Amino acid sequence: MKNSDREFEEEWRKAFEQASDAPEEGSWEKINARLDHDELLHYKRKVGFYKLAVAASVLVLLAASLLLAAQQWLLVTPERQIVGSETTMPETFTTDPIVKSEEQGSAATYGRQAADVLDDAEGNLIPGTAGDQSSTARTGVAKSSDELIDDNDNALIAASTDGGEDKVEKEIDDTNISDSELLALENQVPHGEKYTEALNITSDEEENDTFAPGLSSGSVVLRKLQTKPDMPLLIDMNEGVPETEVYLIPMNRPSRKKDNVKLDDKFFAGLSFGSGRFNPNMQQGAMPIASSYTNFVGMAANNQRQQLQYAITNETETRAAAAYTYGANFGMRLGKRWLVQSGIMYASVNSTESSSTVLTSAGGGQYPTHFSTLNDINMQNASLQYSPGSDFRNNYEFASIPLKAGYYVLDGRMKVLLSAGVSSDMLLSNELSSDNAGLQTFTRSGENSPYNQFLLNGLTSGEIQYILGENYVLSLEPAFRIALSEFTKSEFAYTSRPQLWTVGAGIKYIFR
Amino acid sequence: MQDDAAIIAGCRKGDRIMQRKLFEKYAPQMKVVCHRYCKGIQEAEDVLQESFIKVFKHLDQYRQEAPFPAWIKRIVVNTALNHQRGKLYLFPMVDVDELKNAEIQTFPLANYHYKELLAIIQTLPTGCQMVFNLYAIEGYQHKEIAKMMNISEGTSKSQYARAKMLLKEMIEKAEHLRYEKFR
Repeated sequence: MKNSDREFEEEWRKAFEQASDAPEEGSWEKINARLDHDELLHYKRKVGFYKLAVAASVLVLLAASLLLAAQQWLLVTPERQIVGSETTMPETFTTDPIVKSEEQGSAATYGRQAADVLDDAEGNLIPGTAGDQSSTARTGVAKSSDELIDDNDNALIAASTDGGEDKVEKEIDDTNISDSELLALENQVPHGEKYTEALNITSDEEENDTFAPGLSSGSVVLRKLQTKPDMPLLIDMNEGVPETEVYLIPMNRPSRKKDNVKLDDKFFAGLSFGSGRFNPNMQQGAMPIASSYTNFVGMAANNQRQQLQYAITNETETRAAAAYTYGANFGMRLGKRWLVQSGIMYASVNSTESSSTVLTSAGGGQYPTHFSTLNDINMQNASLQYSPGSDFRNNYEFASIPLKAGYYVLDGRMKVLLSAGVSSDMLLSNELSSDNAGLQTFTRSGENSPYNQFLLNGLTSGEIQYILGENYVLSLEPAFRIALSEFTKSEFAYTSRPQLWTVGAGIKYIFR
Repeated sequence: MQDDAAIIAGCRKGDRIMQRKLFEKYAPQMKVVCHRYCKGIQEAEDVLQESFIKVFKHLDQYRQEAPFPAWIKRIVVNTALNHQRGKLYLFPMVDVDELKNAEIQTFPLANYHYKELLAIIQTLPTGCQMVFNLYAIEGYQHKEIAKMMNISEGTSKSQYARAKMLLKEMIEKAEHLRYEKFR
């Protein structure tokens, strides 16, 4: 590159090195407005995400609840019927004798195997041993059969007929069955299933009806391996038919629907108190500046309005503050797990506002600078004054009617209830007041208020309940609610979707 | 005046007062940069505002690898280029080889106020204006300019050569006018 080229570029570079030019008036305000707008969009997206998350959670909860309910409704007793024709003969049968008359020694085997079956199914029984023989097995069956039946609704009964209990004992006391005997047995079991385990029923169990209602002593539990390894089968050998004749019958499950229990605590009513934090989530737009607001001390006249706008918009801050709720509620259980509840709630909620200006009315009273005061018709002749640290409290009072659906995830003496629903809030009053800054209290409600009178909220809560005696329930309930509709009226540049976190305590009375 | 680190930290937290301070500190310099890449005052103002919004949004990405003013300037230049991109229809304007031997007479620019020079730069065709700014004042190489503007290196060189020729003519004219004025 020639020197003249370098000189040329260097000349131009130097010419602009220290150059500067002030931006046009209002340039920052435009940027500020754009940043406000972008923040608002960001917030809206965030709220949208939370809404989706809440909706998804409610859907998941509903789906899970429906699934649980459906599972319980499906626990219906099948009709008793012969299904022997559906069975096939096992290959493994030769290793585990089931029925053989006039031979000894198999009871121990049966006892051990049956207990193992129950061990497999329940996991908490003592397996039988060879020495215990059938008595261990019987114990095992007697102890667990009800639960076993509960867990195996499609269990089959393999009923065989033979002589009395003694005969059965003899028959099953067999550890040495020859191949030919087994083959004979296979041929006599109609369409036999694959059996590897068996167990006999005692007369005690028959009397107590603990194992299988209606099944007589001498029955033997078989384990069906082909389709459901844990499915117990019963074989009844007392009916006097040939000893190896085996029928498979669906086991009659006690007709009991778990979720159809008659509720004696259908209705309840109660009182509650809660405290927490309220965040109005006020998103600032541009505060209105009336032409009369001219007394802004310390500001040059030519850009006073801009300075005012800046001070009001940027030096005003809203923070979450304490909230208190008092409610009376009532509800009804719809089933063992579900309930709906409603009631009425009064809420007194606060936010803390800090501002660097105060508004002086025509009458001389000083009021907090807030968009509700600046928009008030009575303040049109007021003036603004610079007054840093003018903190004040913004109090809202609501009456609220919630409607919630709840599901008991835990339902004992201690209960856990998850609820979701909506509430309709009515704004009773709004008051701006200050303890320190000597500001006048400013109250607005109804049409004069910059807020909508009605507000729709989405709410969710988790409630821990403890049953006290027969009729009382103590409860502790963390809850969250968020506005689904806009709190501020549409004509104002401000938007607000308040959030309320509370932890409530309450007592309920159950009408039994 | 607060140092950059405090201002940057405040801006990163979204503190609007700090953002304003940052704007007030750097906007005057950056406004001149915008003017160099734009044709009019309003256009430059728009680019300036757009640039600072980008600065505030992307401040988290500033890693202190370059001086902060240089980082801001880069955003301003990129914003200006994006702004002009739709208007650019660049093609090689002259044979670069021919220009190699062209003698460019230089005039001392120290006698000119930067606003006079801005007015001259703004009369350049948009493509020439962009390449001239990037090469002569910002100090980018033609290869980098080609990449930034999505043009060939040859086009960048020829646009620059064309810009120089035009600037020379305009400065000569301005010199002549000055001479006439003081004669």
